[in-house]
Amino acid sequence: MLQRFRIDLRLLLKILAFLLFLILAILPVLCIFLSNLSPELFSVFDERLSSIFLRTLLLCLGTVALSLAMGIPFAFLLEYTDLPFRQFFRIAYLLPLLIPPYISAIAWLEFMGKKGDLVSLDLPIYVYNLPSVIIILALSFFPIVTLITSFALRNIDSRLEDAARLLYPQREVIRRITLPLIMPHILISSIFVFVFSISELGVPALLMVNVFTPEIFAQFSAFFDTSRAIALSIPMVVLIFIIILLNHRCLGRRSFITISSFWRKGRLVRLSKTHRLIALTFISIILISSTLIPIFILLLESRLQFLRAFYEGFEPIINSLHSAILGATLMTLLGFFLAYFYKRSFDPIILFPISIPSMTVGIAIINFFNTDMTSLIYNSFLIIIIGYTARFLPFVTKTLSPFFEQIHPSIEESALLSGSSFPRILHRILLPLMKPGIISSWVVGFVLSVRELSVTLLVSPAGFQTLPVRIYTLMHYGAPEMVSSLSLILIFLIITPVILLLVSKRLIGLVIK
Amino acid sequence: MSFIEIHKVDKSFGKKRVISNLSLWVEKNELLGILGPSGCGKTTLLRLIAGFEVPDRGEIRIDGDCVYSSSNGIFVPPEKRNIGMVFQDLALWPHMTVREHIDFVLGSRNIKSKEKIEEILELVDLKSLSESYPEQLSGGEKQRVAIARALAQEPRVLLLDEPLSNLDQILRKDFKGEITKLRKKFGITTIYVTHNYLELIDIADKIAIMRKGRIIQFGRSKEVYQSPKNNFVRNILGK
Repeated sequence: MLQRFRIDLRLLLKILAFLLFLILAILPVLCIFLSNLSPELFSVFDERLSSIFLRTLLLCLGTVALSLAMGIPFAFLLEYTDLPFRQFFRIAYLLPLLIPPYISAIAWLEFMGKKGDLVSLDLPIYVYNLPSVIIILALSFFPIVTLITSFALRNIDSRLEDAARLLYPQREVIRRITLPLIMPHILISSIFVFVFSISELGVPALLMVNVFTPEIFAQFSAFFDTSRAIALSIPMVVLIFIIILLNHRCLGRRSFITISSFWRKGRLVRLSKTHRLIALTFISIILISSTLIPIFILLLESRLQFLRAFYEGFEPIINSLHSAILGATLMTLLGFFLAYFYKRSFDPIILFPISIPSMTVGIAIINFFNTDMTSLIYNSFLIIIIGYTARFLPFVTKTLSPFFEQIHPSIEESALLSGSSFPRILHRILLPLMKPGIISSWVVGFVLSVRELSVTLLVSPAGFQTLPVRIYTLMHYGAPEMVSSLSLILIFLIITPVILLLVSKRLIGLVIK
Repeated sequence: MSFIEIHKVDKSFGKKRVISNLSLWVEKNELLGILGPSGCGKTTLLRLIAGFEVPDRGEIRIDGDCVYSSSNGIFVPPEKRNIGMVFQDLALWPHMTVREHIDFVLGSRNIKSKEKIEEILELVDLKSLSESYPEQLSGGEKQRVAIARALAQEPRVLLLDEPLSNLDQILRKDFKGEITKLRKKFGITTIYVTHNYLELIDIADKIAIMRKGRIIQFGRSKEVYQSPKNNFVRNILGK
């Protein structure tokens, strides 16, 4: 009899995790969409808004196209050829991802001589235009494409290619077998690049290209005009969500990438001398312009005034650190249970928040939490953590799921059979096995949060500034050495946990061997 | 001169020598079974014949054409060797229907014609399933697609790499029947690699026993069965 009244902890956690996910990442947006939904909503689509909409679409599609053009060949070079220094490039290509695009934009602006006085080249190049924004964003986001594509390439069953290789030359095999097989992965990486581009505030604002995000930011902070924001974002959300659904159906119907052990060194394509030279030039240009030049310029411009910058920027640095640490921890905790309880079939729901542009997330959160009941949250830094969670929880959850998929169900079932309770299974089996996944997803959450600018700018309570917000506001007063020093400090904050992760992975690898 | 001639072939991966000084020959329209424990190099040998890997030394000839020779610096890429292969786990293309599989194969030889596709589908009894994707097929149907794919181009040589390792007993029997039927029809020179001697009974004309990259015993199936050379061969033949 007692059994019946005992609370089922698993069920409780399952419901709790989903409720929190709903409240933090879905409900605010749903509320603001529903409350603004009226027949007149799209009447705000005047000529100005239409042109902004088109320009935004152009910006996002352009960034996706350029990221694919850089990211896919890069992945093939890394996984399919005997490119020299492959092991080095395998890690180096991730660096651009760790430099926030608005920081690259700041550096490139200095470089082009519109500002700053050290490396002024005064080139007759006009950088305040859409193509520049696209180039800077693509240089920053292409590693997403390379990361996902090379994962797919590494895990393709090579016999699928061998079977075709008996009939067609290598080039045809790649075109007709390899590329179709990794298409779902290319698609999902395109979605990620698309949504990161649409949510980017810093780069278009700095380069004075009026697209969705700066427009909404200006409209909202000046007039609290939500209807324009909603009218603009609904088509975007619908578009992205449809792509996510299509991709999910496609992936669900037939899983193309089967993790197999048939990866062989023997099939690496030998590059001829000329091809090797072309490949190295291609990679060098990308890495130099996305990483080396920005960091070099920032170092020059900072005049190495780190101590002063650290002293003056102490508060934002601390704010950034504890918000990002708390945010990453909350996301990892929540993502852990979401990934555990809700398997692949729930993907569209878990991924839904990524289809919402950052500005819309910010406005929705303000709307939802700006009430008497929640004023305590609304007026503290907790609102920023909610903002991080609303934007990045899907990424953290999706980082965790493959780690769960590797744990064979029988491991847990055998523990259940031996009469272990759920907390015990959690403590003794899931947590130890999931440790690498938990650490990786925490780093993902931290890196994304610590550089977050657009939502933070909207929702920060009075007097609370994070480091990206401080850098962004300083940009407008023009204190190049301060901006550059703080930017470098931000890059340092982003890179440190990643390096620690890589080092610890290597250490773990050594211990296991 | 034999139809397939492998002459003193070496192959190493890094420091590990997988094939050492191996010579082997197969007569036209014969089926050669290569029997050996896992890791003995038998799959690598098939991959060398197919052209997926390049040997370090030696010579390989198919139907009189030299496809690899270290001394003459010849290497013919796989697509020009005209070889059909059935892979372990079959390796069907998940993004293609049955018809597209056949179409893809015929396209490579420029013998694409509607009648030809129909003829092949008919032959392996897959006509009603021609628009299905591999994941919608049963184990036996997948197997027939894999065989049809390997034979559609009318290859000079058919390679079978542990084609039964993941199939249940009934399907194994079907496969044997299917292979025998099609080989009778096309009369194709075949190399069949496995670790299970039962699979070779009744179908292999000759058997080669492989161990650590070398051939231990090679001869007519009957001879090998009746007079195993040593304990290793006796074990692998289940005696």
